[in-house]
Amino acid sequence: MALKRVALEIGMGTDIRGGDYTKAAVRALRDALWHNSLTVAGAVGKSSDDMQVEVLIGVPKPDQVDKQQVLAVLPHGTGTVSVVEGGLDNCQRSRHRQDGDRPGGRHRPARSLREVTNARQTRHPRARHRQ
Amino acid sequence: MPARRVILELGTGNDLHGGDYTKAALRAVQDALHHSSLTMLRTLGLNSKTGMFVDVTIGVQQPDKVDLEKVRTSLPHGIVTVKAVKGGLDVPDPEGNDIAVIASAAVSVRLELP
Repeated sequence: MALKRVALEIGMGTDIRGGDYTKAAVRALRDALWHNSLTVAGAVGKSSDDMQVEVLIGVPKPDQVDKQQVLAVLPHGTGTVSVVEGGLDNCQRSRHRQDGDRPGGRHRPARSLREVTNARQTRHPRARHRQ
Repeated sequence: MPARRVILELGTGNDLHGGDYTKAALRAVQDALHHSSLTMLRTLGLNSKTGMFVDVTIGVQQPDKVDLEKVRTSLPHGIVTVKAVKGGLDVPDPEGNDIAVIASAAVSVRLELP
């Protein structure tokens, strides 16, 4: 049976002072995931761990996102992460310095689109589940 | 065939000035709805007019002050039912008379699946 997309979840995350794109991406994914409880897998007679989850992150510097940390957020199913240029940098360096912050401390929202595809026939071994 | 729950969507909404519980509830519902898109309706070829049931629960401190009909008509798809229960949060303003109210919304979607 072919995979079918059943839901799209959207979230936003920031790292206000540290300029850490991975942290912002992880928060964006959490925001996307934990606004919803997806029970469609059980409703069509599948397990949550039969889901294939495609995560799309948008940040200004995609190469600075640690995909493994983003993937580790997913509680169910098998995940893939791709990172594209997007999100937003809010540069206010001079004010941050006056406040005694780290230079270059920036407000970095990351947008996350999570596409969930269901109906994979084979159940993945428990060792591959991500908690 | 019984409709089965496919998703529970959660949101919060405020009315910072005026203490309008309906306004806060409407915002909570919008917050709940717009964090996800139920693409399964299209991919599974379902009819949202007959086979989609949307059950909304609003939590505010004064549930009888929520205009349930206004909340019901704000949902774009499905056969909608709305109830309000005691919940949410009232944030008093000790100096003035300008209470801030917070509403919680839970939107449960059930579908008649093939």
